[in-house]
Amino acid sequence: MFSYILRRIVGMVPILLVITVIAFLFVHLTPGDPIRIMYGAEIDQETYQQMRAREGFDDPMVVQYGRYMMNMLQGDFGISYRTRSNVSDEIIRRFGYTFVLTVLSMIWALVIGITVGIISATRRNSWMDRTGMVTTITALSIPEFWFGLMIMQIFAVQLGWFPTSGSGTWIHLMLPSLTLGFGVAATIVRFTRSSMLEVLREDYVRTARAKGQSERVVVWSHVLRNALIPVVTMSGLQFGFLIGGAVVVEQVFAWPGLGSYLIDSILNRDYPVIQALILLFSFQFLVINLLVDISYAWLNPQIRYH
Amino acid sequence: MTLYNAQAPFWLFMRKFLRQRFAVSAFFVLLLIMGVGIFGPWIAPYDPHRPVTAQYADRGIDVSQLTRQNLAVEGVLSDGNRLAQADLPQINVSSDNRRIANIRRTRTGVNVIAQSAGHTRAHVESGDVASGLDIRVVGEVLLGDVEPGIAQLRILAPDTSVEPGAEFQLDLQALRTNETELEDLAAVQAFAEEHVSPPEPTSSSGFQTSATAEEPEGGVIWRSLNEDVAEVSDEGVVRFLADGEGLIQAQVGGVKALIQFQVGDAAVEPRLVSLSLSDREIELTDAYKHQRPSERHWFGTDHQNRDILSRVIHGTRDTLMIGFVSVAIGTVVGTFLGLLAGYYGGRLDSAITRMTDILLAFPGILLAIAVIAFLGAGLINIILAVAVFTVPVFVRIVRASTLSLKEMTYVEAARSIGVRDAVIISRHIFPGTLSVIMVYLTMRIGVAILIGAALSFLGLGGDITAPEWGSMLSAAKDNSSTVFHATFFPGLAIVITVLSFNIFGDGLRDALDPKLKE
Repeated sequence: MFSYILRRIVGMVPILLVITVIAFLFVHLTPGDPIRIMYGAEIDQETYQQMRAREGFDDPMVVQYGRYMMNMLQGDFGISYRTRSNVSDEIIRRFGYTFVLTVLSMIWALVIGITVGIISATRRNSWMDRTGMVTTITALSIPEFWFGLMIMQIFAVQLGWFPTSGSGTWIHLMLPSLTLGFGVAATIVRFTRSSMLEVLREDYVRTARAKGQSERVVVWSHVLRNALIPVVTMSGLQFGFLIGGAVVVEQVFAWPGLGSYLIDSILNRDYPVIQALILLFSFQFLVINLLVDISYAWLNPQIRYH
Repeated sequence: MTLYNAQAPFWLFMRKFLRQRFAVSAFFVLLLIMGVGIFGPWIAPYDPHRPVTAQYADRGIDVSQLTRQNLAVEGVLSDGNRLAQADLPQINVSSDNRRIANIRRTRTGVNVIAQSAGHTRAHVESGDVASGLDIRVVGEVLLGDVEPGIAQLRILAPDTSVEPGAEFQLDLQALRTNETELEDLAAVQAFAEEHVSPPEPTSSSGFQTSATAEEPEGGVIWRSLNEDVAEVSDEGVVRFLADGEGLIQAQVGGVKALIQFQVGDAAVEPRLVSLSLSDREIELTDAYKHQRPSERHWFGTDHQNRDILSRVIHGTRDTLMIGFVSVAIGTVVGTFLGLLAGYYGGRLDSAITRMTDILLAFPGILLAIAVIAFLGAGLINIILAVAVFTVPVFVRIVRASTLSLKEMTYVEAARSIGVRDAVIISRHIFPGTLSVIMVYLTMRIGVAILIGAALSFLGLGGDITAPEWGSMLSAAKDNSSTVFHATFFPGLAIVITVLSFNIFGDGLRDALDPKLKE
């Protein structure tokens, strides 16, 4: 097991290196001169050259990349072009917001998804199952941002139960997290249902029924326990997708997390921020994937030796 | 005799597919949507780029019909006869909030002119009587329900022909603007205390001031206009003092009515006792911004007063194009790489597989955002960005199906007689992967439309004035707390389109290859 984890971590290193190179080249390949973005388009030629030298853009690429990597390893992601503030500080400040949002969304998604999935599977082909399935395929076709705007309209504007946007309290968190969890919940419903149906066909379930155990015991102690293992691992993968969805949902509810930071920076060509966030997001996904793989391997020893 | 071979794979597929009612109806919805996409510019009722008010003149619509309304005013005499406006004494009109609606006197009645969205009251006064009306101007501001105000008052007395010394309680009925009645004095009093603010102290011309020096707060105000003949208490008890014409006025807010008594043998002429308006509740539209859905604009208009239905129709083309073109690019590139990786295996395979694994590890939307960050905002770049995350999906499925097809005996046979690799791939392997490709193609178009819309919603689509569903939502979201229709309809269009693609894809999958089912 330990060697498997080690192999996987070593395997991540080249991917991470490639991503740092891409992120580094970002500033150089994209249209727009960073010096002009930083100091304004009107500066004269002489100042321009001075600034260029001072910011280190005249050095060879390899030297610049080395410097970039050294800074990054020390946790320094540079200075934002737009606000002149330290990117790392800003990321640390905003990370908590996105983290809380995604975790709560995941809880919603798991609670709603698994409950509906179990109901659907145990009452297969009933009206509840059909409604559930129709709802999930519809849910998967609804854009998150529109769903957000609609529940904002209903629960914040019409009923006035929640604030329309902003942050600070748990109440502010409700609508954004429900919006974000909704799509993932639909995926989890489908996954739980098919996983349950598969387990319900197993021999040991038939045996349990044959020996006269009540349906409740069969479902709760024999089926659920086995059916939910893949669901939980799959949910780990969905976590990565939640972070992607957070970018959109944060924009709808003006939630001050990393997603809105990314979009603001893209619209303002604030490259150091984009660079840092791309790296951060990539790193997150690799770690999540790693954890998911490890949990798979832990649950199913066959995988470890492939 | 049949014209076709019922056992041919195509007809087998058709029969399986037609059995799925949902998928078939989704298919027809898709045909309809594509029709709208192609013929959109000819179907759309308005030009999606210009405010509708600028286009009304071309279609013979008079904006003032929306924003103005004429009312006829009639006087009610004490003998029950009606008096036309021309015969009424000087009419005065006033609006509580002129920023919302103006009211003015015309030759044939009064005219209400909407100014901006909101709710206000107006009063029409003639001589000693006045009527009220409620005005709603529908527009950007969300209007809550407002308690309908009092439109008209009617004073009731046991008898209008009395002797001096008589004393009795007057009763009052009120007609509210929603045509319901307040049945008696107590009800009117209760309503007035709760909902009617006391009238402004009128600058009196010295005609009648002494009796009403202290006005009660809110409530009903009683007043005698002929103090020598009759006097009235604050509670509406009238007492007659001498022969003559007794005139008692009741006032609630700005609404006034009279009652006339013949005291003793005095001769009296019929008098104007109340005013009646042809409409008591007026609804007008702020025609210059955020019109609500109506017959004229089924989906309403947006913040620049552009017709949303026309914009949704025009936007169909861009939205479908994002879906089709990006998935087409992704499919072609992905299929090509997948065929190569699956057929040749070895190092090429592991390089391609490694790349797809990395790309698939990222959620689609973030990958697309990263591509946009590189390329800059714009419609073409959105298409490319969506294509980039479509590629790995196709690489993976085509590679998997190539791997199994490669082992088929017919492929081995072709190879053994020296057929070139290019021919084997294109003639013997590629057709085998087609059914899987078709299924994923339909499913991915839905996803591509969703991601494309999300990107333009985030403002990454470049031109935010373009009639594209995502950008429409992006522009409308700032007003979403007050204007519902501007975000509702473009979003609904997305949902219907994507849902149709998903259901159609599901049906296609079940008909083509039930094994693919989850």
